[in-house]
Amino acid sequence: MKTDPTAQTLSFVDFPGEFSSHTVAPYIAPDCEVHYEALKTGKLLFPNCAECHRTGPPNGGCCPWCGSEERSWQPAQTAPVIHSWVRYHRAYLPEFNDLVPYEVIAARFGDGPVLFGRWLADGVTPVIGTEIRPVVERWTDGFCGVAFAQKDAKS
Amino acid sequence: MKDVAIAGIGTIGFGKSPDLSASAMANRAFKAALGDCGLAREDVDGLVCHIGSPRGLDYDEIAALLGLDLRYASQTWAHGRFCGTVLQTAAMAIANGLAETVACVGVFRNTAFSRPGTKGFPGFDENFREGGGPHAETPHTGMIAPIGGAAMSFQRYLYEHDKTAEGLAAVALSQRAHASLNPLAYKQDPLSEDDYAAAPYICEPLRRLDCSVPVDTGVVVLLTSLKRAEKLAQPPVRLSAFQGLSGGPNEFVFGRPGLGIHQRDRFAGTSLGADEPVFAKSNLGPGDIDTLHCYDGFAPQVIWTLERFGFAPVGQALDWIQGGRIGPGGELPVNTSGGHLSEGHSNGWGQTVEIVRQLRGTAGARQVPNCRNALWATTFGDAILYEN
Ligand SMILES: [Zn+2]
Repeated sequence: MKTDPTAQTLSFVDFPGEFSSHTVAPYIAPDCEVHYEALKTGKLLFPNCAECHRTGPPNGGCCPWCGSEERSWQPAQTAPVIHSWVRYHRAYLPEFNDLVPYEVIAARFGDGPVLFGRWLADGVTPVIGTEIRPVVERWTDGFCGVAFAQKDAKS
Repeated sequence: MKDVAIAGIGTIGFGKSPDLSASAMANRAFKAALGDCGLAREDVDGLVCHIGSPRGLDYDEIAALLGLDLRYASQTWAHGRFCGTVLQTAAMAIANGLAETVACVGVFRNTAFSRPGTKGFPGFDENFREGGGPHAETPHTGMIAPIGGAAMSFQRYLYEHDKTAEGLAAVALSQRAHASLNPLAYKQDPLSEDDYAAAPYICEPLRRLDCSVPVDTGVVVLLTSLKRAEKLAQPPVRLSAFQGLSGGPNEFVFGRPGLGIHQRDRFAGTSLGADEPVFAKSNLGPGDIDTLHCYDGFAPQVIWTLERFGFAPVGQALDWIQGGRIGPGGELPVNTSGGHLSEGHSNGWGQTVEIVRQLRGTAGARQVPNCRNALWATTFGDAILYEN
């Protein structure tokens, strides 16, 4: 489904507890910072290749289709759908001790990238193919990642 | 590579040895391999090792601590997926005259460390690679530990083929039935369907019994020219064809190609099945394989290997494996040592020595009758065809 990209500002949730992201946040190369900096303002941006015009995942410094390093960062053009999901019954990281069992969603944006994110709808079993809503998940040190909520949920 | 063969094998077994150094484990396995075939330490002039320190042993340490004078050495990255690559590298070194006899060393300490996915596990920093963790780990989302990627792939696989997870039990049960016939296996106690159904989920849809069992182990496999192997104590086991490990945007180490799991944007998976190069090079097909051995960090990898290499139709392997087909006495015995799920997680080395036993006819109660062709193959695309 087409959305108006310019109107899209994501809502924010805080990662539960008082955790800093410093032992779980990804390494962000300087030429990939745009995606993460934009999340702090509620924008979900993906790199769109200036040469082949494909939209790629936010990590990586070049287009995996044509090798171009020229790209512009564009809002997601389609709402994500659940591509797959898992439910962790064991916490491997202390940040998730109080959250098990918790679900992680692999969300597919159109024909573009697949992003992982925590599922925020407690008690609702994810269903593959369902349209969902990206949300910004903020950590105490300001790092922001993507989580996913039900399409019509309030927050 | 018909002119290269496995001459000798040695292993310390599969269990918990947290107090044993990696060099002691390597030494014991190395001596056992030399003793197996009658080669001397001085005969070994090449080395390819799998995982380095701290869980394994780097090539230069092995050479120094075991007193090897080498003219060829190589080593792979700290992941289990390279067993086939190690053996293929050794075979190519021999075929090209870089070495005459190569020791392939798989030494793994696991029980001394905290489990994979936790912050105390060696190599935790790999979760923060530019392209994501080696098994699709993305820690800040909670996607962590190798099982996450395997579970994510399996859930997608079930959806694409309209299957339920119950059929997967046959993998764990079949391999345990094999392991109960293997005195070296870490888990030998019989498993029932009720045991499987009662096993807790670790990362749904995968249960604990769908996961490999971490062990400490050391294995050494000695490769040399067929000509030389024929003069040694054991009948040679030839590496008659092989194909390399696959990579690319469609590939994910814990999934069928094209499942689109690792934050990838390509979904066009193809399984070549009987057209995989390993078959084309040997004029054999899946139906000619007497026993299949595959990488089984998680049970779905057996499913995907069966489909990738054409043993079962794509999307049908969960049905295909029912009725004892891959268990002892089945049409295609798979991982007859018990594999990683029951013998213990040896990163493919337990399977490799088991292939050699099967082709020598020394696999005891689990011997596959008239075993002539054994295949090593993986979800991630590498394969070695062995013949006696
Ligand atoms: Zn491009």
